[in-house]
Amino acid sequence: MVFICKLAGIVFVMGAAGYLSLSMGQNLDRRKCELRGLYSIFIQLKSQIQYMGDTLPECFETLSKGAKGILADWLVGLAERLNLKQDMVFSEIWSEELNRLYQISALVKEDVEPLRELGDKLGSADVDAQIKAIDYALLHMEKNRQTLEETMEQKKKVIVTLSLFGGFMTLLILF
Amino acid sequence: MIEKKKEILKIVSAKIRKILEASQLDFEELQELRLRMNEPFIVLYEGKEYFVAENGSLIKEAEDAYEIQSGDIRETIEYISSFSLYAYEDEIRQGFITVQGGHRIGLAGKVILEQGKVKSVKHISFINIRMSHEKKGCGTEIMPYIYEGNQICHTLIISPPGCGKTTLLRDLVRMISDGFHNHPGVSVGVVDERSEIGACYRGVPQNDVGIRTDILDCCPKAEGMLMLIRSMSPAVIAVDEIGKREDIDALAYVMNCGCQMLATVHGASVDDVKNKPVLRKLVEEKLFKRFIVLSGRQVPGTIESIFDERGSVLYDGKIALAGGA
Repeated sequence: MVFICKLAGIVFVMGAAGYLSLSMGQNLDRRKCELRGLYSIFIQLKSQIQYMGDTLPECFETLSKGAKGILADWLVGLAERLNLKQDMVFSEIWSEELNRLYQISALVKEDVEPLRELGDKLGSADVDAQIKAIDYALLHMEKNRQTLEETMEQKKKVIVTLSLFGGFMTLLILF
Repeated sequence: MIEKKKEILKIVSAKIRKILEASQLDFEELQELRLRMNEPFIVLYEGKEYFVAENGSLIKEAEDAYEIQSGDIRETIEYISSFSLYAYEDEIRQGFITVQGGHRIGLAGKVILEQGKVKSVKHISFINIRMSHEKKGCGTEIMPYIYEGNQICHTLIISPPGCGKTTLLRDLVRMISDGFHNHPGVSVGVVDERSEIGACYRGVPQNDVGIRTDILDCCPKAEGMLMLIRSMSPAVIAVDEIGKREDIDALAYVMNCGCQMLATVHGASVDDVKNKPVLRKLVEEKLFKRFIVLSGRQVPGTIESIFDERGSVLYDGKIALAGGA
């Protein structure tokens, strides 16, 4: 009976450690996927501003149709708030919406930070200035994506190793 | 009125919105809102200028009026341009933006020049919100004079600034397009270089310009007239404020294509038009068959007289007025 309980304990602890590593690995995959989606959104935003001359609410509305998952929801929310035109300037809405994106997505602070500066630049009178600001944000996003891709496998291995090691350690302590 | 109120409240800052909501203004009688940074809030209401206090009341003393803050200007500009001034670059270069409802927002600030031409306006500190006021039916009296049988005549409206030539042109366009009494409606092409006739917002005319009217919005007149001939085959083409040599050349071309022209020009009389070197040709070569002269004598849009191409008076406003009285 004791042996069965110990076996069940082993399975439970190791299972939990495995699940933890799996979920952390998935989080990394999600972050990579969302970074890629965000990058593509800003590439499209740039061309919509440059060639179509659409307003920002129109741009975000159009982009939301092509985006998927969390990013689509975020863009819909952003467009709705801008269309309401209620008591807030763009930089304030942008900042609040970036905070929301940070909370609902797998993105980390350094992924969202380059976008914050856009709050003061997007919507100004000069198209060239918009393009340059978006290019600057894209550059940072691309850099973050590359760094993530380069280190992702390594990070995943570290997570698995640490989780399993943690699991074994718990077992040793318990038994 | 509710629509107009909504349209205006949607484009002003939260503070000004609150003041206007408290003011109990009749938005049909509201003509202009003037916002100047660090200056009192002014409205033009029922033809008179008033200062507006923070509680919304209309007052005569500037000292008690609400002082427009930089935040009000910034917020208002963001709402007017849907947070996207870059999308209105061409309009800003001309000094105004047309918003939903056809209201015209005049902007002034520091002008940026590029090779001697206006590139943009930055540090916008002055905003003039002019309400759109259509005067449907103001051209009814004139309509019989611009027809010869079932044919519309080439017509030139001559008027000093602010005497209603664009309003009259818009109404004539509407009636020609929809059909007037026994005259069936025909397709009308409008080259609306300054968005004054149709007041298009996102390509949709905010003013009633008739069911058979096509508008080329924000398009240079000379180019637009030729584009319309090629693409939309209109029976009548309407343009506002002709004056450049290329406008006159395009106009002559349109007339030779079998299209009828409706145009307006700045001036006080036919002789005034004759004295302008570029416009002289229009009168001397009898390109136009009807000349409608407007003035602000009684009220803006008073019809002074209507002439034919030989200079014969078809309608005299003074006689008509005396007869009417």
